[in-house]
Amino acid sequence: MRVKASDLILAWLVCTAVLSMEVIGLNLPPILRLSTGATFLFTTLYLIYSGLTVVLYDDFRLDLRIALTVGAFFGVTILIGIILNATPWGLTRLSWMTSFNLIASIALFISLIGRTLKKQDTPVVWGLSLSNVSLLILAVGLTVSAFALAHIGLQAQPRYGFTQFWMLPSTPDAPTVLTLGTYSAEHTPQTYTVRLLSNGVILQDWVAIPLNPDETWETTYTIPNTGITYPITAELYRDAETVPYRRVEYWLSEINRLSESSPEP
Amino acid sequence: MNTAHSIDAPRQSVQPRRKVWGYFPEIAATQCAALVFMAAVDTAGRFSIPESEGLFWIGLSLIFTPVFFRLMLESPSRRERIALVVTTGMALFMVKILHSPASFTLHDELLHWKTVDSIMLTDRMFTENPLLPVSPSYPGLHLTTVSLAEILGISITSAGMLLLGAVRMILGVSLFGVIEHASGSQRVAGLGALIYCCNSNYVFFMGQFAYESLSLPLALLLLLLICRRGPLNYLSRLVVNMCVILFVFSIIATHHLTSYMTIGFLFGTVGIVIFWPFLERLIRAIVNWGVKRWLYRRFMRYFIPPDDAPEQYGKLEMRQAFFWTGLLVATTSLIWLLYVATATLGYLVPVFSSAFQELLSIIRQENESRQLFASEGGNVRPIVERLTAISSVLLAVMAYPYGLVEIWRRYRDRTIALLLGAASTAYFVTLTFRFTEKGWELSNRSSEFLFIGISFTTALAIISWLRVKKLRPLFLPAFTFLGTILLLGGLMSGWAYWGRVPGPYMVGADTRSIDPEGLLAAGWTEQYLPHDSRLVADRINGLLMGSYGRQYIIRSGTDNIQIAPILFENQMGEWERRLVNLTGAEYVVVDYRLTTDLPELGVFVEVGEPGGMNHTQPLSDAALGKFDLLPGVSRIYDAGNVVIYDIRVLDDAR
Repeated sequence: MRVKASDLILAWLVCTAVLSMEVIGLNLPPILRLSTGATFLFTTLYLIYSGLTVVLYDDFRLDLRIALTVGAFFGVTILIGIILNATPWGLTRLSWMTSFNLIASIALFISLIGRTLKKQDTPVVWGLSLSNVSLLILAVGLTVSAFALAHIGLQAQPRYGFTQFWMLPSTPDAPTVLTLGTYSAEHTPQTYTVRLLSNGVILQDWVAIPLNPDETWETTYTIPNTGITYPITAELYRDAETVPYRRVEYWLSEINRLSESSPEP
Repeated sequence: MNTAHSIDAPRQSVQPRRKVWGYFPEIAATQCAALVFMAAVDTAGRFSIPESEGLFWIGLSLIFTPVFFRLMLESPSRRERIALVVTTGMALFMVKILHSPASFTLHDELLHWKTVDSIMLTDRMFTENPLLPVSPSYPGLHLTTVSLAEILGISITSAGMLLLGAVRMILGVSLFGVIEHASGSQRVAGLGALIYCCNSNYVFFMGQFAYESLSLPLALLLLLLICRRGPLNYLSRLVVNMCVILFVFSIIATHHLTSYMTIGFLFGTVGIVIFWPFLERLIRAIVNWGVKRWLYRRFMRYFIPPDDAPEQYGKLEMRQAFFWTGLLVATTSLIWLLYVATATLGYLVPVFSSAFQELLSIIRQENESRQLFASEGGNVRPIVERLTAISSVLLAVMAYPYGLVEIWRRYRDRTIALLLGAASTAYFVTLTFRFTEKGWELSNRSSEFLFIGISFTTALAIISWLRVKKLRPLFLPAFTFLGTILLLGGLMSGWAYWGRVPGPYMVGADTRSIDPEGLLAAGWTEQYLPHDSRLVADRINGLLMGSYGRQYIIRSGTDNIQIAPILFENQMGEWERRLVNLTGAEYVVVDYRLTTDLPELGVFVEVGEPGGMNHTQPLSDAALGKFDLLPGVSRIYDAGNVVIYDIRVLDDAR
């Protein structure tokens, strides 16, 4: 595999084009962001590999050159990260990509200059036959299948169903406005009833709340700040059950104390 | 490189196409089919099928055994050998990925996830991590992960897996290169690099998202570069020197122990160059006087393979680069320690000192040694597993003298070979720490570095016996079997049984304790509680809420106080209320599953807790339920097993 100068320049142009998209603030969907990001990284690695190969071709074999390229990339990343941390830009996507593009540009320069000084006499011979390639494709396919199977197994793992139930002030600034919520992690659709009580007296009922698995129900309730010293209790009932399935409570005295101690706006 | 002592068979200069890759494609496809089998085994484990653990070992053997057999032969090309080593490393890494394909579930992984997450949130390094305070001071792993996650637009978990996969490739190539340099033999290199997979930490611990997983391969690459630096021209040497400096800096910025072990290895070569001539004279005198004249001729020759090594040896190679690089690593490490990672000493010194103290007290018979093959939860492993684990250590012990004999016969003019021989000796010394409670982890972790020596000596021992042509048909299958035992036994002795195959929830068992209820509770705290609220939580919920929940978990490492009594005591007494005041605790997380069983790891909250490692009963309902009876304490979250209380009212200072 003999690397042409035009290939190197093309790789650098692709790398720079991806950076330009980031600079102009193109908001790409995740899949495109992944593919452009992968292209950016691949071209950067390719240029680093070419830069190292021009110098080390006679001394290091292919395996070591590849390992050295990836290792050097990680090493450079750590160095860049520490430098970027000291700059006003910090560790953002743009600052990473700009830095890597700079590294790719240096690698391109070394590759082009090096090619004029030192010729690569022996090209790399991969020596893979069609059957070899077929078997390796099969190997990749099997690996992907294994990963998919593991994911399916994870999703299907038996677990008991449960429901989350909560009650707490909506914001620290408004401690008398309570957020009540429930999230169903049950296996089947459920119908819930939420009952809010104060010292045994029902303040409000929310009845027949239907929730499918992975659905959330949430509401707010404003309580009168009368200085009472017993807790507000919320009970969650599932279907027609008469015993509370979940129970939470909030102490009004605590609300009062915290609101008194909070600084004036 | 000196190839005069090469023990490889003579090779043709031009190889036919078939010979270049040999059986690599076929074996790689077999390994990947074994991965599908492993995924099925993991799924079986999730469904609590008891046979899954047995099938797990079969799956591992399918990945490892064909490669071991193939690499013992003379025929494979260098390219085939190195490809087999790399794919085996990758396949064993995939075993770890298949165990938890969607998220990180190992303890240390979540600690580092937290640091990466903090960097991504703030775009800055050196943020606080109460789960592992020393972690932000070694940002190498975190920076590389952040860069991948930012550029590819993927999650931290995906970026971490990608990084670790690439790192495994570097590890395989570097290890092959180092052993090849030490032995001058591709065959020893391939077999040695494969035997390294039998290290007890290789499959899971070294595949986890932790700083060591990145730093060790970089350290090996550094060692290889120094080895290969000698015969280069000026320009190549300049580039290699720059890479050496880059890797030195990367290792120091990535992991404390790896940088110290690198210093040890590099200065070790200097020590060998200085002391070996004296030691060599002594050994030669012993060999000439006793062994060769009487013992060897009458008895030992039946047990030591024939010697066809050259009579002439060169002078011990001396590379100044080892010393200068060692000095560079030592100086830079010290600067890093003094100015950046100041918390490191406070983190490492207690671990080392308590391990040594415990070992001494065991030697003095003041203390009982740790019970091997039994979890803190009281689970003792079956006899077959114990025998396999002990056999793997015995195999390494048996191979060790043969490896040393081979080093003496063939490689005593090679510094790296002598260094690896010394590392294998040190490995056996560290095994004594396995009998201590506190030193077990020290021994386990150092094995990643020192097992390189064992890989070398064991590979040399195997190849030396395979030189006996008459016995080769017998030895090949026998060694393949024993090699598989080495792998399986290594993993059995180094990784808890509950961590190998996924399964139902267990108390205090890290990966087996992470389930949807804990994950959703952590997600709830992230959404509903102010970030960095100060939480009291058990080990697992603390881990999840400190990382995914973005909360501040009170731990002795950062707050210098044991918070566990708040969860353990049946009443909130004076000391427990004082603990709340001292630590500024705002919320308590209660997990009622802790009342069902003893923790497999011996602790409910953290090491050093009252009764830790010696708990005799689970936590009581009264201890966890006491918060319901405290006036002013609000029960803000209830998911059945996991309940969260707002305890700010207990803090008088608030």
